[in-house]
Amino acid sequence: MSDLTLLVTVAAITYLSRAAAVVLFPSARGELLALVGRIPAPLFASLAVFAFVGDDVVLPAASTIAAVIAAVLVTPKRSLGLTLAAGIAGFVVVELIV
Amino acid sequence: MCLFAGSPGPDLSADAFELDDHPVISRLQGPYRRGWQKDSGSVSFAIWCKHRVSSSVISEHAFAYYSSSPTVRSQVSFARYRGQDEDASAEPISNPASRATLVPIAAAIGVFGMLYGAAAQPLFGTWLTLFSSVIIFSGTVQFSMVGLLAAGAGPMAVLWAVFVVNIRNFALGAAVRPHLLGGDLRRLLVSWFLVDETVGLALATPSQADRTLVRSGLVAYLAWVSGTAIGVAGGAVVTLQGVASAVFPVLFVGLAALMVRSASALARAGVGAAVTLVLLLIWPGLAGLAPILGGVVAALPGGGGE
Repeated sequence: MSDLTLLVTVAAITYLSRAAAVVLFPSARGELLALVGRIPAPLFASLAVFAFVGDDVVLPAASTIAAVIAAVLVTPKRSLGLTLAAGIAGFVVVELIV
Repeated sequence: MCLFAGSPGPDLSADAFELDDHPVISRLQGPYRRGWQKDSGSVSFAIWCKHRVSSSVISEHAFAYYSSSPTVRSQVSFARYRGQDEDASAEPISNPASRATLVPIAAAIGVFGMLYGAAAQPLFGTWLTLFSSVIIFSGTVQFSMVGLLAAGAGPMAVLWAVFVVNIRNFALGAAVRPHLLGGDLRRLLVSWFLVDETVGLALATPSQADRTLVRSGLVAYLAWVSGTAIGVAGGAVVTLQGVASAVFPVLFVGLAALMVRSASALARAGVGAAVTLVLLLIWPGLAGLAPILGGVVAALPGGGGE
């Protein structure tokens, strides 16, 4: 299999999985719809953990830890912009100190 | 100001979504108008109100409304917010897809695009590496592919891994689909932008999920392809890798916070995070799927401890 064929096949699998999820599969109803509605909060909390520790599950650099702590501290404000700003600020502060 | 918009599905008539006697609608003073549209056999609906109402309250109401059956009508969820409707400034919320939010996300995606470009260029060469980012647009898939090829894996192993990694799209699509308007063709086009970050931003603004998905998706796509081009050209990215690595957990913390609208949702978020960590610890090969499994397990009935 040539590199070009491999890349095109990978792209096809990736796009078809996206399209299938929002077009081919039937719409969720009833209890399944309720379950789907409950997914986002735990899903993004899970992705946060995954992005934090990585697939090899190691403690990240101190600056990354500070960024996440700062972000968590401002979550009661429920502003994504503020969360990102706090996270980046936490990262920069620790980078400057360490 | 749009209060509700969506498509209840082909098996529900407009009458099933009669909202005049709804606890929120009935309390709104002054004019509001409601529009219905038949589209491909299904009913799309939108309710507009000229009054200023806290965006987060509207978002919560719309989300709760979608999440329940027409017969249940989320009475409990709405009742929790009684008394807040008139207070326009009680809980202002920033637009999650604003420029201030998108810039750091795009920068982080661009940096990872650079890293991918630098890693893939020796394997595929300059043009195929660029082409891969143009036609795939998935950091998880592309890094997995390059990592496996660099480790000596064959094409079939790569394709299997890509399939497994892409299973996450089913969960992302299921979550965002109820908020996407229009017919199959429109959803087919919009699905190109279905990645973790854009879905999170879209779910944070359920009444404008389409627009947010496309807008943030375009920004992410341009950042990813541009970053790859710079990486292929040998851009110095090592010094930026640290801050880029920090942006993604911070982004997902912020998105999770936006999705948490009740104590139950908070508990589910905690359960999802814990399940993901345990899965990663005991089953490292599950890396790409662990967060999806964690999210779905926590969403199951009883997953939040209630």
